[in-house]
Amino acid sequence: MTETNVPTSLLNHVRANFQPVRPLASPLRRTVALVPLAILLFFGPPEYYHWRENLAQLPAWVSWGMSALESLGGCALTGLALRQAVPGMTARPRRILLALAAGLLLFTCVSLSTANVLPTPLHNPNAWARLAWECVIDELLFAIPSLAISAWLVARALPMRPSLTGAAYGLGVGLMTDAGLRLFCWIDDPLHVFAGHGGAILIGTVGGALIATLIERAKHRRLRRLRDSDIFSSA
Amino acid sequence: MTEHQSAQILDQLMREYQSGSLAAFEALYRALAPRVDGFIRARVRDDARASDLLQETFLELHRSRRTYLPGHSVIGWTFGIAQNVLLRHRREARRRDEHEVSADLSELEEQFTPRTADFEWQPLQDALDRLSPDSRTTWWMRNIEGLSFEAIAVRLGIAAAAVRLRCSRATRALRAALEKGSDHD
Repeated sequence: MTETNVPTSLLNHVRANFQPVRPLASPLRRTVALVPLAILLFFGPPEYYHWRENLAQLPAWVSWGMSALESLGGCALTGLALRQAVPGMTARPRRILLALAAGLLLFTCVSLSTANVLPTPLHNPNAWARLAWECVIDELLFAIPSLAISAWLVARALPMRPSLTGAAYGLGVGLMTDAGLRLFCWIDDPLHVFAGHGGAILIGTVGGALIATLIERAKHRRLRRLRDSDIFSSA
Repeated sequence: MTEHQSAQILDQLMREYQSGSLAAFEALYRALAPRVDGFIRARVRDDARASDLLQETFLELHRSRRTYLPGHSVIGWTFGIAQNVLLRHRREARRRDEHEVSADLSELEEQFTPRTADFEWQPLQDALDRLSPDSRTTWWMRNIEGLSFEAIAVRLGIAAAAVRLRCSRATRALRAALEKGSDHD
């Protein structure tokens, strides 16, 4: 039987970049580690801005319950992204797309059920665009640092489909942030919620996909440069 | 040896590799490279490209060694990485094809407005000088003299697959050097 030996250039590269590493924690443990972030995003926006004025008028299952459900959904999506980034644990693209659709459906259900229980139309319908924009900004202020943390956690592994993985954690972070924001924003008019809150979630999803793709491209370019540099050094 | 025992040995090797054993890496390479090679060759016909991808898979494996979760399947993890590398390769090939179509169009344009005199040869010359002599000769024969891989193989006394590999690597290295040069400008 012939023995396969490691090519010299590969062995040289490995030898030059060889230090012990600590294995990543399992995706489940890393998802659990996201719970403090979810709690921060849950209580952060209403504590930082203020609690919604009509919070007492909402039944607990609509205010706290729906927010908790949305936050859990966001956590699960981020967990899926973390799992997706580990080689050998990758789910089929169709499943990720289904999970993304489920996340959007969750947001729609939460928003519509709140609007149904306590309809709060805009006092000044002409100001809907300005108010929606304010909510986008308020949500992004909390979402961007969380997006950066998720991107870092995923970038430490190796996502096979970076755009889908990024979209999953982007949507996850968007949902977690919205769970807190809906405890601050007292407007439940669907037009406002879908344009403002939904807009921020959409920005998070697209942003996540873009960030993950760019990070993986940069990582790959570095790997290529490393491999191609071997040809210069080898005789 | 049963499959379970073999999986346990690979898991043990992987743990040793993660804790800094070069010998464990070499043993893993010997155990995994033939399987990964078969996996890649079943999907990529070009020999040179397949060898490149095998090396890239192991480079990626080395870089991502922390993502292996002890106790899980080493084979599944390695094939996950190989699949990732293949997928990237396909995406790149698709992008390159699109790029080459536009390059062909620009060649047509050049036929009508010759600009050879404006071409700066110096960066290409510098990049060529940085190649190893073997790679430079092979690249030159293929791209400037226009010889076939087989003809070059006969001239140099090496296998045609090795010529393809050298040419593909040299082209990539040149491209990287030229892109790096233009970034500095």
